[in-house]
Amino acid sequence: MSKTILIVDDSPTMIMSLRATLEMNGFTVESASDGSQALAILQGGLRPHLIITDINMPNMGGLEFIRAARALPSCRFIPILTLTTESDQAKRDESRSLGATGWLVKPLSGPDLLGVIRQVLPAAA
Amino acid sequence: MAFERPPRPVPWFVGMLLLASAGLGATAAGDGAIVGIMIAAGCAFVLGQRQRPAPAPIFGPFKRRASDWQKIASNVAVLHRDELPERTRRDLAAAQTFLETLRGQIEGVQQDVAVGVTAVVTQVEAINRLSIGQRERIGHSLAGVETMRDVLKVPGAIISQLGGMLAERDRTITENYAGLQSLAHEFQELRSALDVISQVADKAFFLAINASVEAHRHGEMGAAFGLIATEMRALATQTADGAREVSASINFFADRMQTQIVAALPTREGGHRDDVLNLVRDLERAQDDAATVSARLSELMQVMEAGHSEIVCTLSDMLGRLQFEDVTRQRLEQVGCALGELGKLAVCSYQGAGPSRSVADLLEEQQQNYVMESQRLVHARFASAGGPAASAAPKIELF
Repeated sequence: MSKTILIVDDSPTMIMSLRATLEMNGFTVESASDGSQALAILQGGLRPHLIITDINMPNMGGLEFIRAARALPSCRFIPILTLTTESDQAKRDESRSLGATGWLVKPLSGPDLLGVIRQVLPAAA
Repeated sequence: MAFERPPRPVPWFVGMLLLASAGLGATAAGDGAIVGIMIAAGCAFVLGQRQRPAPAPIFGPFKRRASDWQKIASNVAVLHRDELPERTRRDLAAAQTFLETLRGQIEGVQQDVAVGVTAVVTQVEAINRLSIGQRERIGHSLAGVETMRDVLKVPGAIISQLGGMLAERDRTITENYAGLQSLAHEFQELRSALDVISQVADKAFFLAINASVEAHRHGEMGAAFGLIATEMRALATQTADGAREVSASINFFADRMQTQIVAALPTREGGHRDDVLNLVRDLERAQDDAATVSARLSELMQVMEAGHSEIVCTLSDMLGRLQFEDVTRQRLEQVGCALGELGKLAVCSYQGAGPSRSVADLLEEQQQNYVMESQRLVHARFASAGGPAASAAPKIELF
């Protein structure tokens, strides 16, 4: 059974390219366009194996989303990777303190992204 | 007539525009060359209006040092509406439209790039589907060949057993035929023995006749001998008759046996056996062919799997590179916002209200809004005296 990954990004093209990359490598993909929508999906019962979130998004940004997601009992141990253009070290440190699993800077090649996913999901395809 | 460049300072918005263009031009070096050229051309237009026919292109040196731009900005900051010449006021009035047009062009580029990226992703997905479809078709073919091999195995085994039985039967028939031939030979020898008996009986018969003649010639003295001769003749006759009857029986039996032998000839049965053996051989060949095809399809399948993995890897890499669109979009958005703020300042200057913020404030604000290291590097290159600061943060960091 394939692993499910939730992508949170306000860019439709990012979601599209990430979805294509992950699906062709055997993953099932769900997506949300901002943190609040992603949170609603998680509260609706989705239990992804991994969450990949952008940081700078409208409505609810990535850092706020990580904080809210970690407050959900069902999401306490789900790996959360940030994939962002943001390079501010303070935000990077904040994401770590909020419980993010890793920080990835765009643009990130497909093989690099898949390598990180295999690291955080050892049984991944 | 030579036109001397007037000594008055360049309006502040021109300097800011150039600064924005320079930053965008640097962005263009990697991501959006069209936008950089377009904005540079816009700057050239404005400056051309302002300075024509200045001997040296003012926009040309994008590499102008940051201190130069700061000097320009500080010069224009002291101007008031009443001090501006008519030409400059007209330029100020048109500045916002011009800047909004530039923002519109930037948005257009963003949309075009997004559409292009979407099309590329769609194509990538189509390529992946084609590869998967090809792999699945070969997989189905392979499954079909395997099924055919399984089907061939069942009747093949049965016919192989049948062939073995027929071979055993052929061997038994051959042995029986040899036995019958041997028996026929024995009968032939028996017939020879009967012939001897017949000849002896014939001789005894003629001897008995001679004995009877001699007995008759000797009269009463030969009467007793005559009786013996008569008995001998009778015995010889009976022996000859018995030998003929036995010989007839042997001949009759030998004929029937010969008929059976002919009927049991291996060559008569060989036709059916050969047909079955040919069928077995055909089936074995079909099995071999199926095995060969299956092996080739398996090899092809492995090649296809490897090829598909390579395709997926390449496509994944390609899709990752498309993230430049998101990076470029955000950088262009930042430049667009800066142009919008610049336009507002131009309007304030034209209306004589005086801008609530200075260009320096705007520049500082820009710096605060940067999210990418590349933005900060460009800013430092053009607007900071200290030069770009190197970033030590890795692109991938797992906590």
